Parts: sequence; structure tokens; C-alpha cells
Amino acid sequence: MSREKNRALRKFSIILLLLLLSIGAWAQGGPPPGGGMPPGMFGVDTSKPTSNDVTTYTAQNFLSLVHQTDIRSSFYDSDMTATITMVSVSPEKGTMTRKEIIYRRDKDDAFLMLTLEPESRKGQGMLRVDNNMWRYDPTSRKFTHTTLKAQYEDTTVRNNDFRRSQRALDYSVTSLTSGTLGKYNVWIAELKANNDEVPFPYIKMWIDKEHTVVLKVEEYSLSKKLLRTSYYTNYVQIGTSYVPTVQIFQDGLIPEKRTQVTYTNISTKPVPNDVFTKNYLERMSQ
Amino acid sequence: MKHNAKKVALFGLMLLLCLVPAFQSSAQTTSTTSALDTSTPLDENTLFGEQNQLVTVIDTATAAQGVQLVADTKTYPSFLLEGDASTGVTGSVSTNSALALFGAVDLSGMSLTFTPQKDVDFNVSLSGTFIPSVSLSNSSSSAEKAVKDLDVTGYADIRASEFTRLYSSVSYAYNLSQSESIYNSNQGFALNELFLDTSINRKLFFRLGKQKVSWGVGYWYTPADVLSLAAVDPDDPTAQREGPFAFKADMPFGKLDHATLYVVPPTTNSDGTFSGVSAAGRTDIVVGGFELNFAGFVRSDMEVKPRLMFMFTGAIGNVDVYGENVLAYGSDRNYVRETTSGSYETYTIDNVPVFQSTLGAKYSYANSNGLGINLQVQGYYNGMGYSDASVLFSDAAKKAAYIERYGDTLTPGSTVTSSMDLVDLASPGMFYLATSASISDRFGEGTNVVNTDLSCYALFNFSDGSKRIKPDFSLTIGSGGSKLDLDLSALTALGDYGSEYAPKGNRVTPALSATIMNAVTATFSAPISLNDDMSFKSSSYQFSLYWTILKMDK
Repeated sequence: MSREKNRALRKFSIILLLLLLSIGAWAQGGPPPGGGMPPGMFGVDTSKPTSNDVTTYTAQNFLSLVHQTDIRSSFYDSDMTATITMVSVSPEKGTMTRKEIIYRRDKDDAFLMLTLEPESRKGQGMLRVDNNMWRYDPTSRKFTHTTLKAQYEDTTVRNNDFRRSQRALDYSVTSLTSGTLGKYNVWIAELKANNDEVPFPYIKMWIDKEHTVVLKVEEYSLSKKLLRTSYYTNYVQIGTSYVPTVQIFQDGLIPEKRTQVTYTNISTKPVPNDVFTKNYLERMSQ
Repeated sequence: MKHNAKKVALFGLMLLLCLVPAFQSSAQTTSTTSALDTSTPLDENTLFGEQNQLVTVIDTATAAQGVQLVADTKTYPSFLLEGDASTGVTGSVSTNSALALFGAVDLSGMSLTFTPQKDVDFNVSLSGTFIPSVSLSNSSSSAEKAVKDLDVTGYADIRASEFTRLYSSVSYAYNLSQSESIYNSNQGFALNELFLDTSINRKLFFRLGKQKVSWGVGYWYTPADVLSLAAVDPDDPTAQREGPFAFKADMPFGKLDHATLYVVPPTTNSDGTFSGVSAAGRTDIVVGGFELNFAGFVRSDMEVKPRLMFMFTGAIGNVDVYGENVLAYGSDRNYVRETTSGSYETYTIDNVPVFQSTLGAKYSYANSNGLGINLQVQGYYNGMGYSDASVLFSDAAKKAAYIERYGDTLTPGSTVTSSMDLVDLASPGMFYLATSASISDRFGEGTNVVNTDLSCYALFNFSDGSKRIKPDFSLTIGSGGSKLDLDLSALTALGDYGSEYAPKGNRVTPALSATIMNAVTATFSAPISLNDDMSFKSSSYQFSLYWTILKMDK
């Protein structure tokens, strides 16, 4: 009886070991060569639809396109550095300019942003690695946790906008049409959030058919009130990745409130490991 | 000496105001593109029209060198002016004095930054209220001073490289209004920071000199913040606090982990002796969504007892949690007790483990309809405090503790406050609780948008029975030039005279502020002193009316 028990235990241990090895191998696999995330990582079909006929197009097809835009906005083969200039116009504060430098290492889901201008905010910064996110205040020399839902520095931009895009995971398609936006032929889809982690429960997307990049996004509240419209008017393509170099955010409630984000000084040069640390934020601040 | 300081301040103000027109163009460097012309709606046919080139392809080799899409047009040297300037009237009246009314100029965060070259910045910032109608020569005896709430700060930030720099920050404070403060700020000149940064091979980083050190993860109470030289101000927990002269070495390791070592060299005491050398080490480790901090502290002369510390921050579900635990070998405090003769004697607690612990939680909720909720609570057990801190209500008891540490250096008739000694007089209680809550909402849109915010924070010291509560309600109606902002608050301190959170006994300070058209602001506050039975004792009224004329990006 005892021998049978030991045999069963041994079998169970081997199965468990094999299972752990499989999971470990999968987890350590990393992204495939050539950029992009492993197929199926988002849990959706990654194949691009072959037809342009919207009547044959399914919600799943469109989600695949959204997934492609998610992948294309990421850099998995290299780091990415850029300078962001944010010009915000609001009736209360007039025109304000913020300049930030950002460092991204998408394969580690690491992101660091440091304020360069204005002078009164110079040195403020944030670091996010996975779900750990810190903001640094040079006045008190103290780090604090913040949420991805919070608005960035009282603008129409949210911290979530700096996160690796994963709309294909966060949303499901509820309707789909075809149309034009300016001179571009686009897919237009309405999406509904799958979870309450995203800042907008309903969104509407316009995706360019030729390049499979997002041109416009309308973001709605729970009561379907338009809160923000985002335009992505220019992209830079580096390898298989796309950077939206000009983004315009129009507040839905106050028409005079608008923010334009421009990416300049883009680089895919490797970023030293010490940049993605709290020490770097502290050192580069005032 | 005092008059000279005031003259210098007034001269500085006049100089700054003269410079405003000259530098205003520098402050308005923003170029507004057509997309940012909010007088007209965005035209999608223009944004995505024939002129639009949606995708620019850059080969990977070029991208690896850095692609400058837009030329950096910043030139050196540059001057940048920021801040607000207002003019109007300010006045006060009390149950014991007649109405006083003065014309005034108020500067808020007026800052001038000079950048002679890249990575070299010099800045001077000035806030304060100037009352030119009060004679400088008589101002010291007047109820109103020619300069009120003057706060001047300056810094120099000179970087030789990404890793090597010299940083210095100084400040000058004069005639600060601190009637409602628990911890009075130091007045006069102060060297806030003066340090050098350097590194070895991007592996080991050094900061050498006087520097702020913010250990601890608590919001209101930070028992693990053993290196700071100033206590947390409960009314402004995020305010900067003075740090020591120290040598710091920081070594990041792993993905997000850090090992840090501080050494505080000995300094000369007021009696000519040397203080002990201190060393503090800390390791930060990130595990999942939690950051764990393990730390230790020793000081050779045992003036501050050796201790081990453990801190953590993280989230459980949607609730952020944080905590600090300190185990010290003895207490740092000089305790006071009343003798049979009615005088006070001091004693210490040595060679026994003393425990301090604080635990806090934060919760935030915001939905896309504009509803926002923030809750925070923090409890604190301070093993170095008095279980019954009422012994320190007496000024004589406070003096006894102060004299034990610093000798009899007090001038006759002077009083001792909690802010005069961080170890013996600050945080005297053993059991604390602090909490804050706020709810905000938004209604309507465009020029009819209404934003409301109701918040309150409350601090309780259960060891001396004192409390500090501040409810606050703000309302914003409309947007742009027709906007109206209202704010109503009532800072309330309840407790015995000399207690921690009600050092001046029972007091209520209702305050109202109203701003119209983003430019004209009226304020009114009325600190009301109450007797022990909560009956009216005395009050004063302060009011002001300002028109903000200069408003530059902050």
C-alpha cells in the first residue's frame, strides 16, 4: 500500500515538474524575433482580415486590427527615447507648455518620464515598471504611488496614455462600420470596456485601412457623454513600430480646452539599465 | 538689521516688477499652432486632408542615432519669469484692536530663472505681501508690517554631466503668519541643501553634502524617518523638511531594488563637544506589487538609539496600503514628570526594546462622469511617546525637557513650543489616528460646468485628547472668463492649552475665499478663540481683496 502510494506520489511529482517546466519555458520565451508580441498573448486572434468588405467583417476581425495597432505602438526589439512637448490651452490657465523626456523599455514594461519645462515643475517625474508606479516630488524629495487613471498634471492627458497600449485586451467591439476620415479610408468601431481599470468605459475608434494605425478615438463616460476626442495625425515608422508623433486631445465638456502632444528627438538607442530606477529620477531632478 | 532686510526685500520687489515687461516675452515662448486655436472647432478634413502625410518612415539605423524631428530652438542665455502678482487691500480688526486697512501688493510664486547655458540654472523665487503704506521705521511696532509672509528661495543647479553636479538651495523667511500652525517655521536665512552628486560606472551613486532625506512611507506619521531634522507638519504633510549633512551612497540592483547607505559625520555641539557619527543603511526590494524596505540606524554617542526598521507599500485589491515599524533599543526622548514639590524632573528609558508602528490605507475612486472619492486613514502607535501626554501641557514641563537637552539657553520670558525640539517635544503622544476624506463631482458642460469638492481631514492624539479637524467645501461654476470659485473651510483645533493639536486651546478659524473671472479674489477669515467650556473668548477678522494683474505660467 505504502509502495503504491510512493509510486503515485512520484508520478504526480514528475507531472508537476513537467508542468512547471512548460510554464517556465513559456514564460521565459519572450517576444519572437522581428518585433511584436507573441501571438495569442492578448488572447485574441492576431490574423489580419483579408477582406475590405465591411459586410463580411466581424467584431473579432476588428479586434485583430486593434491588436495590431497595440503591437505597432510598442518597441520590443529596442528601447525608445523621445522628447514630448505638451501644449495645453484652457480658458482658466491660457496656454501652458510642458516638455518631458520619456524612456521606454517595452519588453520589460518599463517607462520613465522626467519634466524638463516649465521651470516650476522641472525635475518632477514618474517611473512605472509593470504595475509599480512612482511619482517623484523634488520639493519634498519623496516618492509616492499614483494610479494610471489619474490625469496628468491637470491636462486632458491621463497617465494611462503613457502606458503600453492594450485596447484589444481592455475592450470588446459592439458595432462596426466603414467610412472616411479626411482623405483616409477607415474602419470605424464602437467598443465597450471589459474591465473598470480603463478610464473610459466606451470608446469609438477610427483605424486607417492602409497603414492599420489609429487616427481618431472618441472616449465616453458611463452615461455615454463625450469626454475626450483624440486625434493622431502623424506617425513615424521605425522597423515594425509606429510612434504617433502628433496627438491632439480635445476636451469633450469644455470646447476651449485642448492639448497637443508632439514627439521629437526620437531614438531607439539602448538605454542604460540605471535609467529605469528611482535613483535616476532623484538624480536628474532639481 | 531688520530694517535693512526689509529695504532689501522692497528693493528686490521693485527690481522684479521693473523686469517684468522686459522678460514677459521670455515667459510667453509658447507658439500656438492652428490646432490649438480653440476659438474654432477642429476641422478633421484639414487634420487629415491632402496636406497630411500620415506616416514618415525612418530606417532603424538612423533611429538608433536619434532623430530630431523638430529642431531645438532654445537659445542661451535665457531668462524665464513665472508667477502671479496682485494688488488690492488687506486689513484686520479684532475684539481688542481697531480696524486696520492697507493697500498691498501680493506676489505668489514669482520666480526668475536664469540659464546661461545648457544644464546650468540659477533661480530666485519670491512670495509675500508688501504693504508700502506702512512706514518702514515704525513697522516693527505696528500691527501691520511693511512686509508679511515673505518667503524668498533660491537655488543653483550646475551639472557637469549626467552624473556630476553641484546643487545649492537657500531660503529667507520673514514675518510669516503662523497663528494657526502647530509647527512654526524657522524665520531668517536657511541653507536648505548644498551637495555634490557623482557616480562610479553607473553602478554606485553618491550624494555628498547637506541634503533632504525623506525616509518613511507614512503620510502624517513617519517614525522611520530618522535622518530628517524637522517634524512632519500635520497641516502640510508634503512640505519640504530640513535634512542633515551626510554622505549618501546608492546602489541599484536587480530590476527595481536599491541598497542605500548614509553616513552623518560628527559636528560641533553648542558646548564645543563633538556629536557622534551616525550611519543608516537601507535596502528596498520590490516583490510583486509591493515595495519592502529594510533599514537600520546607529549613532556612536547613543544620543539617538540604534534601531531596526521595516517599511512597506503596495496594494490589496483597490486599496493602497503602507506601513512602518521601528524597533529601537531604548527611547531617544528626555521624559518629564512632576515632582512632589510641583517642579519638573527629567528621566530616560534605556536598554529596553521600544516599538513604533504605523499602518495606513488609501482608496481612490473616479468614474468618467466626474465623480471622485478619496479616502485615507493612518494609525500610529508611538512607543517613545507618553501614554498620558498631558504632562507637557505645562510650559514649565516643556522648558525642563528643553533645558535637559540644550542647557539653559532660553531668554527670560520666552516660551517653548513643540517645533523647538524634534525629539523631546514633537509627537509626544503614544496613540494617534489621522484620516481624510473627499468627494468631488462634476455637473453640466461648457460654460455651465459646475465642479464641487467636499473634503475633510482630522487628526487625533488620544494621549493628550487634542484634535485638529478641517472641513473644506469648494465650488466652481462655469469656465473661462465667467468662472466663479468659492472655497469655505473651518480649521478647528480642540484641546487643552499646550496640547499638541490645539497648542492655543480651543480655536475655530472659518475662512471664505471667492474668485471671479480668474482675477479678483476676496478672502475673509476669523480665528475665534473659545474657552474650555466652548464659550466665546475672543476673535479677530482678517480680510483682503486682490486683483491679479500678472499671471504667468507656473
